[in-house]
Amino acid sequence: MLRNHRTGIRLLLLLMVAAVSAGVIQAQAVIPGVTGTSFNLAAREGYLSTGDGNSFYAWGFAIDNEWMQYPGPTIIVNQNDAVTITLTNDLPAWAGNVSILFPGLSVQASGGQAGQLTREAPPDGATAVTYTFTASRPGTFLYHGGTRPGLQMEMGLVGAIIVRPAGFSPATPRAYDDPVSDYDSAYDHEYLFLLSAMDSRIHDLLEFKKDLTALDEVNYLSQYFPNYFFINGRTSPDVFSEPFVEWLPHQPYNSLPRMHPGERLLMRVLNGGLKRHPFHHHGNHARVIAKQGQLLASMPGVGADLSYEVFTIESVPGETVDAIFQWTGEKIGWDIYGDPNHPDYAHDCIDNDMDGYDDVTHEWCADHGKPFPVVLPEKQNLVFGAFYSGSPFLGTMGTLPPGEGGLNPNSGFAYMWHSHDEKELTNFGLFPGGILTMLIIEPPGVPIP
Amino acid sequence: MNRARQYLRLFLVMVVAGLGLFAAGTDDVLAVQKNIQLSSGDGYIVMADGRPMYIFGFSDISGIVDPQDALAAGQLAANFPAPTIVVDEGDEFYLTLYNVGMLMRPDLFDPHTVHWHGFPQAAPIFDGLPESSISIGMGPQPLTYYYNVIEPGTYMYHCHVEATEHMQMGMLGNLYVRPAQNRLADGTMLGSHEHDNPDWNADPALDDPTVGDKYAYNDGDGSTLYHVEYALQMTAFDDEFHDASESAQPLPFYQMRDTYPMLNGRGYPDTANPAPLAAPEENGYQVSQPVSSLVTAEQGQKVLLRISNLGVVHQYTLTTNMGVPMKVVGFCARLYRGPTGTDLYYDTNSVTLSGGESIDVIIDTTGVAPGTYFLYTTNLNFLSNGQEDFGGMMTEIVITTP
Amino acid sequence: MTRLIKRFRSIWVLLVMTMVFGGASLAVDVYLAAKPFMKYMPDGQVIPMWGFATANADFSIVGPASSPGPMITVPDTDGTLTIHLKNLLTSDPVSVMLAGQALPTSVTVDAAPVPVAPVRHVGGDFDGRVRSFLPETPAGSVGVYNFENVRPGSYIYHSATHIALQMQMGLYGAMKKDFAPFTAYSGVTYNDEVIMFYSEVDPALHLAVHYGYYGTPDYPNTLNYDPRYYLINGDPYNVILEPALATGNPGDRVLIRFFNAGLRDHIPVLEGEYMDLVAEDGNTLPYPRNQYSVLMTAGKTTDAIFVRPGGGPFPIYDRVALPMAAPQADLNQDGLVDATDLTIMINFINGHLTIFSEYAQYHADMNHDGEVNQSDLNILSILMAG
Repeated sequence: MLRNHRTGIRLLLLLMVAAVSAGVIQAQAVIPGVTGTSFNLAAREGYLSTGDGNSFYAWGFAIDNEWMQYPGPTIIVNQNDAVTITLTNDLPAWAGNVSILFPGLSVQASGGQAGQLTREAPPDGATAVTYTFTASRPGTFLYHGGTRPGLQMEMGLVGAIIVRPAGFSPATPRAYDDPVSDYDSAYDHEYLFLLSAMDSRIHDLLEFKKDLTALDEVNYLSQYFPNYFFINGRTSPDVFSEPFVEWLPHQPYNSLPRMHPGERLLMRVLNGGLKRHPFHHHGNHARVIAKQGQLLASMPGVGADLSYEVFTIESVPGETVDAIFQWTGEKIGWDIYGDPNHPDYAHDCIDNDMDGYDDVTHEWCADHGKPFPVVLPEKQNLVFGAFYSGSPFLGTMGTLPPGEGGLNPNSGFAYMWHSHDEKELTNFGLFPGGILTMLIIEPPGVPIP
Repeated sequence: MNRARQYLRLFLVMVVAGLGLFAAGTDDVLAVQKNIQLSSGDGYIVMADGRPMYIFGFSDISGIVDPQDALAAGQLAANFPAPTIVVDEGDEFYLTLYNVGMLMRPDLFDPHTVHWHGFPQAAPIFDGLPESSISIGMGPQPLTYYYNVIEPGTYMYHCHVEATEHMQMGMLGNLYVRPAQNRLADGTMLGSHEHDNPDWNADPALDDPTVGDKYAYNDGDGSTLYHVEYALQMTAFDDEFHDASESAQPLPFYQMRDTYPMLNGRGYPDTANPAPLAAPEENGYQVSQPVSSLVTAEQGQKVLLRISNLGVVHQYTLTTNMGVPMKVVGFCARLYRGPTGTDLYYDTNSVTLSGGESIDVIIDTTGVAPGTYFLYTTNLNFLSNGQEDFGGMMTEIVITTP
Repeated sequence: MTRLIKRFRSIWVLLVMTMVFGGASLAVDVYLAAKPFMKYMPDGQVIPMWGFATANADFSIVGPASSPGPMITVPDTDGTLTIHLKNLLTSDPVSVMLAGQALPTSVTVDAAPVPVAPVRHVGGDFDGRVRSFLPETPAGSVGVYNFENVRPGSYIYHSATHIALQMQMGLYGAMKKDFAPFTAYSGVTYNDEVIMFYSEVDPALHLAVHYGYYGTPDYPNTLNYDPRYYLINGDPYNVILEPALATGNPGDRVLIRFFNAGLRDHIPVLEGEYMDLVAEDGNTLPYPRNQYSVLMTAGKTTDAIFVRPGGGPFPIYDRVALPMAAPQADLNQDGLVDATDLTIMINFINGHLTIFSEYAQYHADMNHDGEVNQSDLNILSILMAG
């Protein structure tokens, strides 16, 4: 299913663009994480940086002897694996015990101390709690702190678990072991969107008071009022930076989804916090095929026949959503690559398999050659976005006033994927920030790693 | 730029648009061209507790021929909500946006856009997202958006420039698309339902989609048939934010909270007032809140509520006390049906929407005793107009004897 | 209260009723009173609340009020529910409705029929606005609300008068009706039943109503809602402690009836297991939703079937439960609310205190409007005098 368009470049301009694109913004088309069946996690302290230049104290899960990270390491296992997660607690004594809850997974816990919801690791850096489970169902799951879970999630103890379906093949990846159909879980690119929020006042209070009872004297948690909002542990615009960038040592994951027209992009949307985040993905509807690690199927084996399309993914605390996003620009009413008879935009639409789309670029051939429907205003009347290529056509650069544009070197189509509680597009009151990233639909032929 | 060039530009737009008229819209549906001209700027409304509120917003100034007239027409004319946009599947829709500046804030030169929220297969140039394309600056030159309308449903639209600020300030409106099924030939069988369309005409421009049977979606079986429809948009203002904007103070983004929850730009009891609200003095006596939220139906009719949430802070739950459930038939401008045709419709007593979501519910009033009922939020503290009790996100549903 | 008693709470109430009234069942005719009561919280705060209480047919015996009120069980064979409601509040009128069921077909107040119509304010600031969805039963009177064609399912009954205030004060409860014995809906059978009823308490509103300053500029309305306690089946829970499901035998189908009479979302999460959501607000879903958590929005009811495996207990925790915050007004943290605290607040408001810690700010903002000003001082004075 993975479609590779390195061959068949027909647009003259694309050749130039492709040369430019090599080595520029790299993005992950697979989700970074740790694999295996046995994982050693520790809860550790650290600091998070935000897009407004702030930093504040936090807790997070760390793998082995690494620094803590937010979110915790994405754990990637295979269906039917017997998984063992060992947890130790390197937090200071005043922070109390930690533990892990795994919503949707049937976990046996042993070791450590008995807690209200599961076994806990005391803050001695040595006593280990062992969590074991059989990853019996594929899908997207959360793991998070289980001792005062509300507080521990707020402080940063949260992460994602991905269970690959039985028979998973990286060449033809699927999220579930469902039959092939138009509404199946096959994808070309997958991206994690772990949405969360924090109130830095809580973190500052605990950093300086070093006493959990300090929270009882204020209403920061009872009247929850976050000021920072995260995708995969970063606020915008840090989401656009590379993963594992060295100046965000505790926030290794980024969010910069990219795809080509006609491809299928799997969105794994998790809510690792205490409030809802309506995740609006400009560009097209997405099909929600699974929730809470459960394919939306009327009965086992039929595939996601109860799936439905949305333009905003409702991300509810504790829930996970898997959705497939596609885009071709079909029926837009004009040729998205420009006038094929013009030398600058020459391109073909060849549909041998009669599905309505070009066999390689997935251009909707019924729109091929249709003229651009309006005359755009003069440049002096316009304000330009940083992701604007200067041209309305895919794969074409246009002239822009000096200093404008620049963040879209391949002249793709950019769409903002963001929380639609727009207050969450801020970093402590500064716009833009928060839960805000861009999907770049790259012209066919642009490599996406 | 002189007038002649402006006229020529407008003419060119018309010609290009006219060419579109002769191209097939989608599949077998002939295209009808629709146009609207909106101004974007500032204005005033009056809240249900009587206090005026400074806003940014859109206004319908369709009919403008000379762009220079847009400034006069749009100045302080902002409506809340923005003018309701209703188009039909198959339309080629041109939305021309003028930025007339902010009369009360001459220090601001914000550009504006129109984002048709949820438009399928959108291209950035017409998506209205300033970061990935263009926005229109202040002045007489407009920006025209083009939409090939192919998917029926309940959407919404808003400005996306500095989204947190412009949306809080009120640049939000209802938008929905009627399905092509409304215009099928009279007598067409949809499953076991016979479509009634007395004014059917092969030319869609001559077939009024509101005459005859009306559906929310191309359901193929009449299951989304309704008799009366109302678009209800949930929003809320933070009065301190608006006051700070009016007096050119730093904007309290961090402190933003909902103090004036509304349906279609009004708090209760104004929501139940069927007429446009009285024009406020603050904007020179221009009507700025023309959209009511009063729902009326005859007993036995099916009421379609096209509900959307464009609040920037909070999700809201809406319920009625009618004692008959709401049937959810659509969500996010899609018929609520699985890919193999399985209906996902379900009955419920309340629906909850976060920002940026929309839902279509049909209420069958068969058996509902005539009288006055209420549609209101179960987040009961938002039954408030600021510090005023007995207000907020509530409206009335009047069921009359057939 | 131990977990076991919590689980059986509804049954306990039912048993008490049966014993008191000699076997008369809470079936077709239900006798309730709306009355004020004091709720003692584990942190020592005493919250004045309003709740429903069971009563006998002539209201000569009225039980203790609770919030949520007594469980109303309509037998599966009955289609009519008649609620006889005596208003024992000091002065506010009340009423009762079943959210999601049709309004009553007939209402009498002190035996006189009244038309079933909303009641609106006459005159004053709120002239013309609806005050009550249903005819009001004045303080001291008895209203009879007759509901016909009651559908099976799980429902919340609550006052229909000044709902923003009276719901918060505690006038709500759960009602259930089966389709057939041990069958919640057609095709949905169960062996065991568990009730999970969520609600919230914001002490500031309760104090305002109790001391009579609700509706004054000091506390004008409910906009600044700030719940300090989350309740499960009427008792506050801290962040994670909830009744654990240790019910029935492996293989049993456990019907969990979820109710949320709070004003905010609650999200119960079943630890380590999945359940099938089968109905919402008494309406069966077209397909069961297999989930480990349930989004309970304000006013929502949801029915789920949990097929109990071996082992257990199976904790349920509220994903968005926020801890109880300390009671307010103790500005100098000496454990007492007294004249010293009043003096501190006066000094701050008069500008004599320039440093006011975040701690004090929270404790002094009595009406949750984000500011510490004369209104808060008025409130504190009233509370101390009361």
